[in-house]
Amino acid sequence: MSKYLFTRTLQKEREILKKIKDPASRDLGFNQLVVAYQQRLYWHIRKMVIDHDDTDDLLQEVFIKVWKNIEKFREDSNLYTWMYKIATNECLNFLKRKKDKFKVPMEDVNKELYGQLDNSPHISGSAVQMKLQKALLRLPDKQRLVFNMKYFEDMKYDDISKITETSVGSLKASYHIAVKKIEEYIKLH
Amino acid sequence: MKLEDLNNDNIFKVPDNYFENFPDRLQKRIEETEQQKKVPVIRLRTIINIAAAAVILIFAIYGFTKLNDNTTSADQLLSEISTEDLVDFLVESEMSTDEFLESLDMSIIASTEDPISDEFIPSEPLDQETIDELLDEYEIEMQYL
Repeated sequence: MSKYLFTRTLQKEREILKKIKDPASRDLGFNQLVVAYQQRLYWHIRKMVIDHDDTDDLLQEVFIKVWKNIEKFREDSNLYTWMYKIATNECLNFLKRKKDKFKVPMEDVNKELYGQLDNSPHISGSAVQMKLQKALLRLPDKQRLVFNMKYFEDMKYDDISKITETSVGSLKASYHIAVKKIEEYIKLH
Repeated sequence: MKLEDLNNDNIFKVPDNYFENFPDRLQKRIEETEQQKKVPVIRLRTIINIAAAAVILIFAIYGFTKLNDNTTSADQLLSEISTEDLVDFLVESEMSTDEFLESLDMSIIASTEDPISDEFIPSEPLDQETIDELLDEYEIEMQYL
C-alpha cells in the first residue's frame, strides 16, 4: 500500500469511527465500515475455510464482534488490522471447532476442504491454480494464513505481524518454508 | 515451476449480488442479536430472583422441619418404646435402672410436649414403699431387677 493510499485509509477510518461513536450517526457509520471492508475480510476468510456459506457465517460473526466492541477500540491502533485480527481468530477457531466436532485429525478436515475445491460451484480456476490451492491445504493452518496474507493479499510483514502477533523474522521464515513446500507439491503432481 | 511464474488470480467466486446484499443482511442479523440480548437480560434477572427466593424458601422449610423433627422424634421415640421393651433392653444390656436413668438425655425428654414435671424426679432416694408402688404400677417383676 502506497503512503498516499495508507494516509487516505487512515483518514477514512477516522471519519467512520467518528460517525460510529456518535449515537446519532452510529448505524450510518457502521454501514460505511461494512461496505469499506466486507470484501477484503470476505476473501481473507474464504481462502482459509474455502466454503462460501461458512465464510458468510464467519463474516457476519466478525462484523457482529466489531459492532459489539467498537466502543473499546483504541484509536491509536489501526482499525483495519484490528478487524483482520478478529477475522483471523474466527477462522482458526472455526477450523479447530470443526476438527473437535468430528473428532478427526486436522489432515482429515483439510481433505474435506480439498473435496470442496473439486466440487463447489463457486470455485473455478486453471489446473495450476487448483494445484496451488490443494498444495496450500497441506500446510498447517497458521502457515497457510501467513502465505495467503503475503502472496494473495500482498500485505506487509509489519501488518501481518500485528495481526498474528508473530515476529517479522518468524513470518519470513514461515513464508519461505511454505513457498518451498508448495513448489515441491506442484512439481510432483 | 516457481510460484512467481504463476498468476495469483482468485479462483473463488461469490453468488450474484452477494456484496450488495450483505450489509442489509448483516443489519437484520444485528437487530435480531440485539433483540435476543434484551430478552435474556429480563429472563435472567427473573430466573435469578426466583432461584434466590426458592433457595431461601427451601432452607427455611428444611430448617423448620429439622427443628420440628428433633422434638417429634424425641416424642415419638419415647412414646413408641413400651415398658416391656425398656425392661428387656435393661436385661439384655445388663444395665441397672440407675445407670439407665443416668444415661438418658434429659434435655430430649424435657423437650417433649408433655414434659416430666419436677414431682416425678425424686430429689431424695425413694423409700421401699414408693418403689413397690412404682413396680406395681409399671408391672415390673422383681426378677428383672
